[in-house]
Amino acid sequence: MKWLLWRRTPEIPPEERAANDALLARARALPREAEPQRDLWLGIRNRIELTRPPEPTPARVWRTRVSVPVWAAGAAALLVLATSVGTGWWLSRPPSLDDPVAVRALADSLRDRDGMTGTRENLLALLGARRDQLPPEVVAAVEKNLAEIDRAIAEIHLAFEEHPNNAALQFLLAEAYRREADMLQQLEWWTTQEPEAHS
Amino acid sequence: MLYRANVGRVHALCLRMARDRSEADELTQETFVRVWERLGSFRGDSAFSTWLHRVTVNVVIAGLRSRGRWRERFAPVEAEDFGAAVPAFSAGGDLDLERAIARLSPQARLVFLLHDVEGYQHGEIAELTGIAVGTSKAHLHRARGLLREDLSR
Repeated sequence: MKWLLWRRTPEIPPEERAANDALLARARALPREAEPQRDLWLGIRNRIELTRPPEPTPARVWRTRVSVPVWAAGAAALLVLATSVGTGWWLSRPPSLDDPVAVRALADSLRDRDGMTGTRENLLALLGARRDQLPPEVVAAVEKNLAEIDRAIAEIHLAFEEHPNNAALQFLLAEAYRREADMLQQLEWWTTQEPEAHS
Repeated sequence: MLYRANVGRVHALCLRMARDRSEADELTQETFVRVWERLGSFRGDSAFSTWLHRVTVNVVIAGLRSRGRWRERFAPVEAEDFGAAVPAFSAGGDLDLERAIARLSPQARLVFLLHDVEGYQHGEIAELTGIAVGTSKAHLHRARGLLREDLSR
């Protein structure tokens, strides 16, 4: 075993050597595997499929390029619709500081991004695969804005930990989600258009 | 299946390096996509697990660095919540050591994980990470010292 090859050097004092041995024993006992809490294979498979080299003939190329966006566009449309409806309803009925329970419930519902994450990852994978086919300014704008929105959402969540009933934070979070939905909608549009429409 | 057989080990390394579950998920996915892309370049002159780890280490380092989050993600931080956020490491594991490892600098953490947890030799670590053997030894020495100190508090 590789562990047995770990050699003791004579310069190390006995106490330190013993401490190192104890530390090494604890390190060896650590679990070397940690299963992810969600299935990552779907996202991997989608990305692998998206990175397959295109077919040689132009007609085949276009069919390949269109087939995936139809799937992704559907997911994006659902995401955008759900986010828009939820956010619209939410913004039309802003929570009151007088009703902290309702505010908290809304906050919790908005925090649940698990369903969005997979779709978002797939769309980002799509963006990566289509990088060469999209205008560079579109790619740069989408990536930059998504990164900014993610950072904003993370900061708002942190602020929530200290001020869980703060209505201003609720509005900020809703706005951040709305911006993300807009970006994904733009991405969906770009990836489903004929190449000529990009110009 | 390649993915099922290896995802746990890849994810564990990503999780300990990124210290963030969603980031580790992303790195794990990136690793397997990269493996698929480069499977043809695997020549069989090293164990597949070593080659897979090389890909993982490359993804962990290059991926996060290219996204401008190397310093943010890998900078030493208070990691009191690390174990609680990672049930795979906290259930029956050594949470004190996990937290202490999470507090190490990124280079020391990577070398410690590869040497003392994964069992690689310094020469292999040098090959995996692109650092010199002496640098690997220095990082390990420093990591062990910091961990001993941290765990003795």
